[in-house]
Amino acid sequence: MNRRRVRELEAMRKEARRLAESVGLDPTPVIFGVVDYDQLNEYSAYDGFPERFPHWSFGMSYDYFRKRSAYSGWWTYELVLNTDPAIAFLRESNTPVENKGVMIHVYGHADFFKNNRWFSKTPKDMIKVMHTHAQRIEEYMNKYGVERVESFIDKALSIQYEIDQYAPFIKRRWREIPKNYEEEPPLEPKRIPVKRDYMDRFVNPPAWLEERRALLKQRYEEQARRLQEETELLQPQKDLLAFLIKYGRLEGWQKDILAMIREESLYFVPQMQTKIMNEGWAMLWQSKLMAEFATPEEFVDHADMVSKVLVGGVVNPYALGKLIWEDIKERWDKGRFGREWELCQDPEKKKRWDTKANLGTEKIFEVRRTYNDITFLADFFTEELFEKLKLFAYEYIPETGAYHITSRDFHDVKKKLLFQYTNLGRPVIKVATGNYGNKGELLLLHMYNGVGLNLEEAKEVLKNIYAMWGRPVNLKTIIKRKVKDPDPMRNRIHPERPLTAVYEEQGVLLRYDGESVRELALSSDEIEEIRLDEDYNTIPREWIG
Amino acid sequence: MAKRILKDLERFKRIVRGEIRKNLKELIESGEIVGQKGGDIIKIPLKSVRIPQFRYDPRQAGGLGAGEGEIGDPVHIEPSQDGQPGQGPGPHFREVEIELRELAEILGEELELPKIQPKGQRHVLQGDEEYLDISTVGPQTLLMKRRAYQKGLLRQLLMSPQPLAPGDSIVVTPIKEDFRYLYGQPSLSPEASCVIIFMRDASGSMSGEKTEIIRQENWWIDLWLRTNYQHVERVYILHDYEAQEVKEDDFYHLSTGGGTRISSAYELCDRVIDRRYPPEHWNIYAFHFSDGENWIGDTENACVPLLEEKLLPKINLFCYGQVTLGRRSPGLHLVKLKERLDGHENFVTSIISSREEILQSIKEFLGKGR
Repeated sequence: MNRRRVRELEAMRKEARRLAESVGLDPTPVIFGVVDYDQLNEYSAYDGFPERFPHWSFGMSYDYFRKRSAYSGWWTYELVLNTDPAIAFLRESNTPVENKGVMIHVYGHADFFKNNRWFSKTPKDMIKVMHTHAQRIEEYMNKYGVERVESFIDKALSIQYEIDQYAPFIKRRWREIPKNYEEEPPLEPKRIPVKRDYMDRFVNPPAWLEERRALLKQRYEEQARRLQEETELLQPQKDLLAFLIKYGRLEGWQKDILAMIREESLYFVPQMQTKIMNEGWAMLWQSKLMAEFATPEEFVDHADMVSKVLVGGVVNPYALGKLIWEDIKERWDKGRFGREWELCQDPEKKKRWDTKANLGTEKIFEVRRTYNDITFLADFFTEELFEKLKLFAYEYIPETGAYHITSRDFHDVKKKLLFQYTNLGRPVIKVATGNYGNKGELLLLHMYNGVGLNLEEAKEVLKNIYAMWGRPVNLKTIIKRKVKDPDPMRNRIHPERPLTAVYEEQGVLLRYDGESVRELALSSDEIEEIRLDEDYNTIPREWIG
Repeated sequence: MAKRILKDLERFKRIVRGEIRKNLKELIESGEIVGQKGGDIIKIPLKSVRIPQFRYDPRQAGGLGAGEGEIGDPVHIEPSQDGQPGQGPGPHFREVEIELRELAEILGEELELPKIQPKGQRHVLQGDEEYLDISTVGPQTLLMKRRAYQKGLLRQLLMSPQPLAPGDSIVVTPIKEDFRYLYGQPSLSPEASCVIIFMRDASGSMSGEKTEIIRQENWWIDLWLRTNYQHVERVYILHDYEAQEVKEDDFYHLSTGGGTRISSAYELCDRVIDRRYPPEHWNIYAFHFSDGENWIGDTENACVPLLEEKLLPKINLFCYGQVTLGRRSPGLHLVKLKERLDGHENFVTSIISSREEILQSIKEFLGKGR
């Protein structure tokens, strides 16, 4: 790249930063790298990082990005790393207006990374961490063989998100993972070195050695007992990864790999937790500031670019986030909040409501400091917004083999929306005990909320966990079993109001003992233990039967 | 050092290839791939390439949409690669995408298909570049560094005010004028043009599963041939008592009630070749499928002479596939053809009695490398 181009980009970057600061944003410094499309695909495959540990799944991502850019002209619009300074990438072939848009967008993210509380515990030098992880895993591959390490990583990635997303904020009993993974304490006491053999029995008298041995043995037993006690968790807890690191029958290098994967997952968690907010925030400022930043000729191109990012409407987190932010700003500017507003029943009055409170800007900055997607949606996804967006919930009806609109009710839709973002959109799995049935078996609980697990996949995961636990692995979950078929004629006559079979929830213990997966029925007490008081299913009652 | 990502990609491709190879038979039998329309990319559902995790059953999770529609209306949900929101960085895969070329290679390796020897004579410009020339402009990747150094050295020596004594050191700094680049010229090479003539008995007895088998088999044959030739044309001929040329879609969907006179198709095939595909310019492949029944006397009196005297001398390969569900015994047509034409190198027959035999049949047809 020639110097003039660098100067131009640098001038552009300064202007972007000035604009961002002029509206009160407070981003970390950002380093922009200019890369060609192939590098962009490479970094996208590595989730933005210049390198990751060797694994074929990154190759798979890369292949996917490459084919998408080659066959559909699609490209990663923005790529920014939550580090300090933040690092972002511009595509070499970007037009000036694309660069402007990306820069503002990136400064929006950098502001969010720096100021949102959920990011407060992530390491700010993650590039280095990723680099060390890559090196360490490569070393293990050299030492223990590529196939062996790779196949272990395959298994570990199977539970990469079995973590506690709040772990960095909570002090937990087994959160602290010992740094040095010593296999077992030595049972043979260290001898004091002697120069002449005959001196040994004077310097290291047998009686003393015997005493030391007994002491070591006692200490070892004590440690084993403590371990035993700890694996009997008092309360089921999340973070299977941490549990396996501490108690799994694994070699040191294997525990180390698990710990690295856990660390990487925890780094990504805040980004998953604030997807709507973060993308919405960046889009909000991008649209606002580009009015000034883009030249009049460029503005149409920018609008076109934005429309591509926001495609798909409200189900797209970029679009939904931006909408909610704009709505908060407007509401607090017009004083549409608080007790009086909530209690007002007159829709006409509400429409004209404007107290000129002008608190919008202050409010959105406050929200960006402390909220995450769940609280954001819970507090600010309002009925008014819902009505504007024409949202509906849909469910799959096996009898017709299709998805059907099930509800246009605000509470149903909001429930569904929250469901998609709760626990990173994944089922909650807890570790109940490492000594199930007093046989050293692992027991996991799927905390059931009306939406069942993908059972076939779950069985594969159990097999992978077995390889790490070394003893049979059990999972308690709830499945839906068909108890009565609907009238088949009815669906043919009224396909618009499909009938679905009557299903009954049944508790199941999935048990993998190294040979086969078995399903055993659960007692009603056991079901109660894992059945949450929530139901995210929105199929209307009158459709059942 | 090779880029890390390329190593990961290499590793991924090796896994995919291994998996496809292992499951090729099932993939062909299930017909999942054949249904896909258009494009250079094929989607293949490969469970084992996906890393299993605890996830919701997507059918139970439902979702959100926006827009019009009454409660109860079915909605079309595009199963997105990106999965549910917030599931973690990176795309989430349900299937593996593979380029047709790669798939053909795997097919070739698995069936041990020999490379086809094209016989085309026409010469056309082809994109394969060989660097036979040198130019003063070009991309950085094709810069000839040694040559640039030599030129720079020469220039500096010529321009130096006093001659250098042996042992004097000189720092060579090549400037733009010294740079030379490899230059590639499109080279002349024989074009490999190919025409595939698919023929099928469309009489009433050839419906349903039989047609499906033919469709599957033709797709894979087509895949192999089109990756072996630069330019492929296709002709579809349906016949019952009479033959007619049809479009691809009709080829698999039309069926008639009439009797069967196979020679009508062979006649039309011959006419098509004479009129549009002169054998000196085209590699010609003909595939004919039927259930083995034919008009009495037609096979020996009309088909055999047609093949022997007219078709076989012109074409690379003539394949006859007898599709008889659940029966492996050869029908009369097949028996007589074999009896009379066995000595011909470019004549192949195969019996397909179920989907499981498609793979074997492809191997029989294409295993000759013609």
